[in-house]
Amino acid sequence: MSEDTPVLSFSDVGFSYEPHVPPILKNVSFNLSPGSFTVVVGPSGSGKSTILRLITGLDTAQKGHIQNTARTRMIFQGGALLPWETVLNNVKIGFTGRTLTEAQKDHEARKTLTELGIQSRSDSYPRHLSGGQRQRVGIARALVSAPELLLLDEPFSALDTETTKRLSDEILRIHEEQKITMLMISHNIENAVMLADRILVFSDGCITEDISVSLPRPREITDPEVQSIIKHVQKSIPSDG
Amino acid sequence: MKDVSPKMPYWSHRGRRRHSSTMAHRIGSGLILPLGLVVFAGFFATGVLFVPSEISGKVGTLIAALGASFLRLFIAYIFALVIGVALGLLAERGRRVESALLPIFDVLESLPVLAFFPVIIIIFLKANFLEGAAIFIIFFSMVWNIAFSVVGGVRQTPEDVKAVGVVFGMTRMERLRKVLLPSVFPAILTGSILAVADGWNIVIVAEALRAYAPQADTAHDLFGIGSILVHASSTGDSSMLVAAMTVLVIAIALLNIAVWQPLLAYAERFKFE
Repeated sequence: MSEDTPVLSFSDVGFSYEPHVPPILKNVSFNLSPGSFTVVVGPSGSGKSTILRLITGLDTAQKGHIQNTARTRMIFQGGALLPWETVLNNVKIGFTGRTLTEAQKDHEARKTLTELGIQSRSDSYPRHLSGGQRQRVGIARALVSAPELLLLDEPFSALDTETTKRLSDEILRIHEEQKITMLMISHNIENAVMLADRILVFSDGCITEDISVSLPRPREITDPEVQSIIKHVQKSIPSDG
Repeated sequence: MKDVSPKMPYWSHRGRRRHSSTMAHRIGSGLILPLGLVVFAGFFATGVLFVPSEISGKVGTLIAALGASFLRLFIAYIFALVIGVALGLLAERGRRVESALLPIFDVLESLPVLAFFPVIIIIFLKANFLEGAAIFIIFFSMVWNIAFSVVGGVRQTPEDVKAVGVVFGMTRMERLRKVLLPSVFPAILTGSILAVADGWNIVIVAEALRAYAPQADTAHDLFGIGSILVHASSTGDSSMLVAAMTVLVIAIALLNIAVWQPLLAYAERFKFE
């Protein structure tokens, strides 16, 4: 894939969950370039999560065109782990479709869990993990499939501030080391500005603003430039109420 | 980091370990109490304290009859399980399918199965296949419990968990086997317990076929604990009635202790928080 070829392309995409209700997405167009980190922000019900459902094929666009050439995986809110499987087996779901032996899968999965600092929980069940640990297992499951495009659906929404900070650093490290294109949905504007190199503001099913964040990483929340972008994004989002 | 999470044995309910007092409690509530009630009721009905000596020679017959009834119930349950799970999963495939199928299920479930039992018997009588009539009627009383439980189970499965199979590229069969069926396992189990309970109710009448078909007589009754109960009741054989009821209660209690309780404990790990 060349540097200029977008990993993902939305052209005039429209979508409605019911035939006779206003569309949740209206003429949405954007491209994701390889290795970029894009965060979509916007009020509840603005259509942010619908974008991920369309990319993953959970729903089909009724209008426009989506082109996705990348191997795409997703990190869900709360991890979405299977409670009847151990951590190791949950991670091995990421190997679906890859022709590896059980021993290879085992080795790869344990290696990824070690990188994420949760190798000691390999044989535990999800109910025995904290929210942050579950999310790390979700990340490991996505990473073992060697994704080219990683979708993150509000991955920090159920976590405390400290865990969110640690996990954000982890995701940033993975992004920079593996050059995976990332598209994250978030309610947290501060988090979006700390991570993204591009922020798409969504409102009423449309992209209302496309903000480029070219600040070097790691960023400091107290940095006046970071604060200025946070204020700008906050102003551009209509309140939920 | 060391894993300090408690290792739960499969039979334990949310970390409640098996110990003597739990087992004693289960045996006490599941076996001794119902049995005591039967003996107590039998004593008042017949003046006999326990299985009288003239019945003791027939214990083998009672156990064989119980085995025959259990086999009927088991065959009907297997059909109900396969068809009930399939119907439940089918109903949850989409809003249109759900809105078309659920009203039909509602009507079929509400039909009093005994109302059209005579018609079923006549049909099976013509084919000289009375076992089929009994199994069909037991199946029909069971299947809706399982189907509706599965519908509820699919609805309770988080959307994100259902999406995992699609996002990670599983085939339909893999999604069914690795995600959907395990996620509805607790619901299948609950439906099965209700179904088998309904089955025990129906097995009693399903074996006494002569009561429901004009052409049938006692020769058409099926050998089983149900027909023995009906026969003992109609001939006023109180001691046989108490003995048959005792055997039935012991069997149901043992099924509960040995099968349903361990499965319920095992199903805990399949539940979403």
